[in-house]
Amino acid sequence: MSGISDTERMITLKTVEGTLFDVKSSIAKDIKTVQAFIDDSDDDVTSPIPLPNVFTRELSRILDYLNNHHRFRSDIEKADEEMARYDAEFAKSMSHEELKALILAANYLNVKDLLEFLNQTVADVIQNKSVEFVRNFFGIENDYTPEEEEKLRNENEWAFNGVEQD
Amino acid sequence: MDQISGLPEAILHDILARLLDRDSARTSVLSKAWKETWSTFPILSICSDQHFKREDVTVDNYHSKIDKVIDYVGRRSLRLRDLGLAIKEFKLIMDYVDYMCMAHHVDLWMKMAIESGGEVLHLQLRLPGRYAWRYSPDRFYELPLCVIESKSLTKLVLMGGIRVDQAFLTHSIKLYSVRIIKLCNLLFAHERIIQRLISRCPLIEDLTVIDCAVYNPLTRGIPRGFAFSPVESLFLHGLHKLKKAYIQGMREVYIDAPNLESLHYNLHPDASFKLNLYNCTNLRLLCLWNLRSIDIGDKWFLKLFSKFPFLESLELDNCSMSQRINISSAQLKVLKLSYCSNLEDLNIDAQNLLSFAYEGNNQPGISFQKSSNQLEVNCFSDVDFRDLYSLRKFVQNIKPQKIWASVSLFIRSSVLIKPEQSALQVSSIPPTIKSLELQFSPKNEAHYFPFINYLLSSCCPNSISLNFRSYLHSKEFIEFLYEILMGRKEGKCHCNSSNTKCWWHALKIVKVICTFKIDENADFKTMLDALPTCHADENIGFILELYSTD
Repeated sequence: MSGISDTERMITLKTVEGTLFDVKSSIAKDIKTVQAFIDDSDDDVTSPIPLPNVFTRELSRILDYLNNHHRFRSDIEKADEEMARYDAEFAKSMSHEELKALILAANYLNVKDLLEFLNQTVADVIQNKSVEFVRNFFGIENDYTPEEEEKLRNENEWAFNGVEQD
Repeated sequence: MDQISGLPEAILHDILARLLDRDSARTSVLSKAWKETWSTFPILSICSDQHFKREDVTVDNYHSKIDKVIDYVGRRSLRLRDLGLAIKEFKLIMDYVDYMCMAHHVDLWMKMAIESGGEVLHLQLRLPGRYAWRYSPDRFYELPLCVIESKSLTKLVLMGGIRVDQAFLTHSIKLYSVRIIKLCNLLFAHERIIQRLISRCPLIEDLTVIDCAVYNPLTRGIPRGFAFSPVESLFLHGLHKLKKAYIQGMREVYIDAPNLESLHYNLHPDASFKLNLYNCTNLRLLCLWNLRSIDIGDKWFLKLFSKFPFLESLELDNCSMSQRINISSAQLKVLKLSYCSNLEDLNIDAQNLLSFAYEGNNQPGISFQKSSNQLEVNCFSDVDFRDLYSLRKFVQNIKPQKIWASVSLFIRSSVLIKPEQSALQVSSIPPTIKSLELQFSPKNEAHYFPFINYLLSSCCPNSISLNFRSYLHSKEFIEFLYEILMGRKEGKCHCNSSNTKCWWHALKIVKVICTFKIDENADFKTMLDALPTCHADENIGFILELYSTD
């Protein structure tokens, strides 16, 4: 595979809605599901690759993420700093519904770095936060009776020591 | 249902795995769906410090606290078993807890984890006190044999307070899937058990052995402490997959591993040593600590580089050296020398070297032949007010001069005798270097100026950075430094008493860059005020732009 971006081969992806995206083969490499498809076709991919589980909104965000990360990595000098800033913005700009859709898409497409990053985003919310805070934040409905909840809290009493009060 | 609860279980489990034990345990209280997710979570991890703080433990409540842990692990492991699920990862860290009362429970949990098809086993039972070896072997947890019968384990970590008995010398070992082994502060009944264990793991890629000891079960009656001796030697043959090895505390090491890429070898400070590496022609990284039985000289380096043609990273720490050293290598990319005694003159001929680091109390002359223009030189230095010119001399003795622009100086601590206020008067501008990072600053306000004067008379950095942590630097110090650089402390320097001006008076701009989030146009005062509220690891950096001195 040539490393020169100008002459790089392009691959076309097709979302559920039928939107077509042209992707550099070096970016497609990070999308393991797509790469597996290419490998299975002996690199002979001429028609668009259909992605029956991925919507246009998610694919466009994922490609945006991958393109930016590739760009950061090519500039070693500022890579970490800019990447951290970009990631923080990326995480902040999502609603819970978008976050979930993106996790599912990243999971289906097997984009490892992004999936890890998104899962960490969810973990960061839960970390050191009270049950009430997490329920509120994600809109999780409490379907326990007060007695059931009390019993569970007692069983896991150790896990409630020193939790941040919100 | 809400957005997050509806995610696939594997993803929710990945999220739980990113949390501390108690944070993940609390999710079971969120809702019934989350309790379901929690009960199938295949990682069973117990850290004593998550269950109780050491200072909260008293003689009276000790057993009830331990009982709760036992109850918790029992409930979770049985639930996984009832569901027919593997305990993929079993991690038990009981540091400084007297676990004797729960030893038979630990046996049971290990058995359940292994029999369920567990992949990761991490058992850490550090004993109270610094010197575990003064305990009788009976105080160590006896490792059950079922551990070496596991065909599914990929990672095995055993640390502290664990005893490996004679039976491990003969019992059949089935660790066919193990890739990572870490053995630390263990007690073995026989020296050969370690190497038997390791050599029966054909897929092992990553091996760590740190300070293990042997006890002689027959020597009861001999005063405690004498019954133990360090494991002296390690012979590893035909480990074709081994890529990384970290070995500490042995005198004799023999490794025959054609794919070994990285070796850390830390020997006991007063041990003579033998290191035999056969067929390790793929070695890329070598770190040696405490090699003091020989003086490392030119020949040693020549032999090293011819034996390991791919060696690109070399680190020597607390080693004994010849006074003059020539290092010549075309493949070397990273070189670090720390506290190497005797060294006075270092000549490096390595055209592909990208990073050179030096730390130590003696400050040799360092010269580079044919250096790469990407070379970065990092020097770690302690401030010594007894010899005010030493730092400047050290920087000036880095040759050729063009290297100065790649030098970063890290100031770590100070030999704090009372600095003389006006001792250092420098008549010429010091070498211009890339950056100065202060990892230390004086606590006493009276020492601020002598300290800063000393540094800025030793070098002209293009930037100064401080990692702001309240215990390292006070706000007052940062403010003082800023004022000096802005030329607002005119009366405090030597301009008046000598003919030349202090170089920092010629600074055109002192631009302050903060890495924490703050309005870009915020002035210095605002940044300082924001400091205590930001995260402890944030950096505050000062970028100095120098006035042309022509």
